[in-house]
Amino acid sequence: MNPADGLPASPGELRIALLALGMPLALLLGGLLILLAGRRLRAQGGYLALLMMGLAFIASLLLLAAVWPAGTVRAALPWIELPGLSIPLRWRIDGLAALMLALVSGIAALVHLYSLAYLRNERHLSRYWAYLALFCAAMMGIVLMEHLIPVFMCWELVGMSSYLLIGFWTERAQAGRAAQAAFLVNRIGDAGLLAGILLLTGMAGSGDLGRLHGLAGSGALGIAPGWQTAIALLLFLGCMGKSAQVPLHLWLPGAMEGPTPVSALIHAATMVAAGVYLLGRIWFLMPPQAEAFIAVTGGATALLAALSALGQWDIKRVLAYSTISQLGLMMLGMGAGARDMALLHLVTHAFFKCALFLAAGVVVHAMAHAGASDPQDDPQDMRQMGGLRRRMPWTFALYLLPMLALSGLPLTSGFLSKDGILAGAWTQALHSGGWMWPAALAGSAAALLTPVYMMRQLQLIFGGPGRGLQVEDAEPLMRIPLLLLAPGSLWLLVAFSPFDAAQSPLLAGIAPAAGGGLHAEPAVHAWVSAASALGVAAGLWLGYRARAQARSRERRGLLQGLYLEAAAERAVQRPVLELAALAARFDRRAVDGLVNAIGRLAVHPRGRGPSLAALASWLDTRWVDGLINGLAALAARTGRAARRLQGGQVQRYLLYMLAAVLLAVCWLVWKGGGI
Amino acid sequence: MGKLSILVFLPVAAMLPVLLVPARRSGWLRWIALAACLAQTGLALSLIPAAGSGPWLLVEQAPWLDLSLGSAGSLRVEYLLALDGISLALVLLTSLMMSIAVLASWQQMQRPKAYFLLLLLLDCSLVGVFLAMDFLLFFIFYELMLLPMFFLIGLWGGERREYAAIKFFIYTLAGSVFMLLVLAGVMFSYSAGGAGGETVYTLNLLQITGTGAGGQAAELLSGSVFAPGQTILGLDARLLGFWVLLIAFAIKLPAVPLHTWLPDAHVEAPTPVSVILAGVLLKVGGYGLIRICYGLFPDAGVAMSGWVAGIGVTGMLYGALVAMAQTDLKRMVAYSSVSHMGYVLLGLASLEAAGVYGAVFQLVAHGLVSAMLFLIAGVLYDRVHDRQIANFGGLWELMPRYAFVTLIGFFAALGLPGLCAFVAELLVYLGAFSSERIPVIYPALGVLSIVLGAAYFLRAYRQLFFGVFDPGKTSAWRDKLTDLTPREYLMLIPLALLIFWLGIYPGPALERLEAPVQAWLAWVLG
Repeated sequence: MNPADGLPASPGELRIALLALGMPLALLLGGLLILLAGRRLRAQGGYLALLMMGLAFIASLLLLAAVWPAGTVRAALPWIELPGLSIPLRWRIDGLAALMLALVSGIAALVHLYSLAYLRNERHLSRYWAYLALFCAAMMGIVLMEHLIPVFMCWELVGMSSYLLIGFWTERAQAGRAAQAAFLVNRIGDAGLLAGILLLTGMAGSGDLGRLHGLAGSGALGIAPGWQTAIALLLFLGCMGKSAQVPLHLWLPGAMEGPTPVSALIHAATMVAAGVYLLGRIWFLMPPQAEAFIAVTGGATALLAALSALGQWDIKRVLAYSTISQLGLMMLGMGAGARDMALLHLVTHAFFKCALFLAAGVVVHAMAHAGASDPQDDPQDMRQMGGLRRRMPWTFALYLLPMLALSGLPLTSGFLSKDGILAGAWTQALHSGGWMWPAALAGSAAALLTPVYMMRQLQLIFGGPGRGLQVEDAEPLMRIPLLLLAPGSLWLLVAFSPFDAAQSPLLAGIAPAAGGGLHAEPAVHAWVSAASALGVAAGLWLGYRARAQARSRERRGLLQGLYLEAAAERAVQRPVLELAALAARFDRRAVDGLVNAIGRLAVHPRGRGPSLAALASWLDTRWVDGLINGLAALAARTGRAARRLQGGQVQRYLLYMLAAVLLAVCWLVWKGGGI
Repeated sequence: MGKLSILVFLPVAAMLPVLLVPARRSGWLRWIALAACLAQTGLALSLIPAAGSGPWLLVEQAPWLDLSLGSAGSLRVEYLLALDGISLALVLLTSLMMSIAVLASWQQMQRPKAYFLLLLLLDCSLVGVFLAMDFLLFFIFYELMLLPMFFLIGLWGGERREYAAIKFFIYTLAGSVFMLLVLAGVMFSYSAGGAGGETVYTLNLLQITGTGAGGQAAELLSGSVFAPGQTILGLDARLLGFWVLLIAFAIKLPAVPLHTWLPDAHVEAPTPVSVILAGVLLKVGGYGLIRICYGLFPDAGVAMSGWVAGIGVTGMLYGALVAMAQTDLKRMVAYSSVSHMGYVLLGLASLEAAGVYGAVFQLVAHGLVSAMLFLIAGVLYDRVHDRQIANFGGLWELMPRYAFVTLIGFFAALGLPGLCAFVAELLVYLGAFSSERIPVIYPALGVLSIVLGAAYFLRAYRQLFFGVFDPGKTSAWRDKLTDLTPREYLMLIPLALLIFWLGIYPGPALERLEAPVQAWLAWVLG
């Protein structure tokens, strides 16, 4: 064991390490308890879950205070320790990890609070709390673990808990379908991630990020450049799955089948950011070609998803597509080298997107109650809404603020982090050119489209004349989380200066882990900021103007997500199923058919007629000599046994067969002496 | 009588009281069988801390047959049982599966005496196979295994039981014949070096595979059939021997394309027999590969790594694809076994420590998981005598606990971290990706099977459990589809706990495998 293995010696560090590992473990145990004692706990299960998550948040604040900004505590426990094969559970708490822990547990705690009201009348709530606990524990595992194999394990557990939560309403067949699609698409990414991790482990001799970083720093990674690119792309495939990058983004809109608080926590704020976070940890393994690929993928994702968001009617699907679009921007930042800005955007996005989803949940909840008499009405269809701002002033205000942040209006947090990414992308494009140009262009276009579709949504829900809907505003329990989250949309979350993200104190913790960042040229940054401020204003105006035709105009291509889902079904799903059917037919007809044909040739079903068994029995009586005969005798006996079996006298053949085999063996032993 | 002999023959001893139970007291039969299996499990558990120098924890040896061959020397066949970490793991698995199988047979009303007799005989032969270290003794136990299985499928099976039983029998017998060919050759290839310089032919695998226990290492006689450089019909004799044994055990494993007996046998076999078939019997194939095939022909094994890995990966992908097209729950699970047993071949072929650990771990992990899956399929079949996945739906509503247990089983099977199959798969891939003996494309393709595996298990899960139970089509079912009974819990919960334990903390189990795996690698690569 090298010195980095094992628990830290100093009591202060030991306390930090144990506190960090204790959080996910306590959550798992608590979740298990709620699951097992669900019946008896009833509503108390939810309070217990909320209490746990609140404690986790406090614990992560303690961790944050202990390591911020540039401290690092490492600890390890053995998981598999064998000669020549060591997979330790090594975890690391640094500024970025502590920030992510606080983000996950803080938002999770608010979502728990919200869920208490939102899902009050649900059955099987103990399952819900347990699944959430599993999710948070696994997510914390991704954040904390330093060895890639434990990271992968938590990675998959996050996918699994997401499956469970999307499919929480088991009576809905559609939820089952969406959950399955989510897990499968993620698994495609996971397969790539696993292959990448194992190739890396095999070639570099370690899967430990700390050690790999050291090796990469001294240029001693010992991997041929071609392989390095291949490994980088495989690792990125995993990030694409979790962070919903085109074409592995298809699961995310479907994931909205889950309860809305789940969408807010998992499919907007935390889980989908895991890919970005992981890239922020493995950036030193990315050669320039891979970075260009990441940037292009991110830009394309941002643009395609923004276009798709323009045509949606479902309130949650607009937000889902906007999440994909924002994740694309983060990836663009990662690829362009503005990693610190990408991670900063991850943080700001978590706040305003979670707030948007929770506010959307209030609207859906209210619509469902208003339309309770008519089950045909889809409470998520924005065409049914309109004019809600008067009846739901709180929700309107709490929707407007994060929506402006998402749009990237100056004085919001989104403006700062998004412009940081775009400035980085343009700087990189000016410097290295090539594929960075289209990537930066696509990202900027997506950023300009964001205010358009968000304003359209706001108009559809809250704008226009009232439609006489008897909806109620959010009850206090649902309003509190919103009140706490929405101010996070302001620039103050990031920095005191509303125009320069580079001065953000958050970066002090993020940047060391992400290997610093790209310093955007001031001129570029100024241009990007000015252009985007203007662009956002224009976009908002456009979205506002579009309201007149908005309600009637159906853009089928955009609604269908640019037909990418249909294309994927045609290009992947159907061929695989056809291949499976083909394989099954082949198995039945060819492989098994051959076996049956040989069987018929060897032993005639009726025991009459020509067959190998008959031939063998003839040989047996005439040519008793040598080893071949013994085998034939066995075959013949089999044939006879088969015939008798059909005669129905089976039991006593147990002894006969035993004797036959033993005799054959003894005979062979005896005869063998003469060979 | 040593502990190992007791382990092997305890079930046979229990056959006597089973025979003596009067017909009107047939309820006692299952208690006797259960007691025997549990006692066996307990004895096997007591062997876990057994000390031993080197990889072998316990060896029991007695002369059995000594045939004088005149001037040619003599042939020595021994009664030789030996236990190392690998066989201990499989013996534990066997006794546990047998206990569960007896529980699953609790309501066996049809000819219960014959049924439990056969079950006990099967138990004896399986444990014997995992402990015998004399090739002939191994072969006898191997053959003995076939008979009770044949009758258990053929007499207590489903509609096409006779076809399935005969198919199973002939397939397996074909494998045995292949093994017999090699056995005949090996019989006169190794000399243990008797007194006075006479040749003592031996089948003692401990001596042949040079593991240092059970006497001095046997010497491969020059000029014998399997001496290096010998040819048979123009083919290298050692390569040929390896391939013949590979085919013999690949049938049992089963490896594509020698697998078609498995789906039929599983579909027709009653639930407890399926549990044993998937949980233990298939492992004999993997175990035989490790001990006999690679043990006898290590050089050929090294040379054929690419082929073995290729067969393994083919099985992983092909099995998964065919499973995806199945509509019958049991058939789907059966093909998933084909897919999962491919990992054993891939792991062994890597000839890396991680891969071999993974292969052995997969034998145990797949045993636990597949047993659980067949019990899960049995739960539905017991209630409504239907296995068509599409006929169900909305079962979460009717059988929530069953849904939850199935969730664990299916996710274990698709290799979710935290559950035991993942550890095996991880180790196999770890070995395969870092091995220089197999092209990297094999494990890279193999990784696709984790996507395919997730696809068919999750699709089946969705069809069975999601949605609303449709009372129109199957109204009579609603009353029959009740949640798990205590007896079913008793079978499923221990399996689930083991699956969790080996998945979360595999360290202690893997440490028991360390000495034998290292010794095996040293022999094969040496």
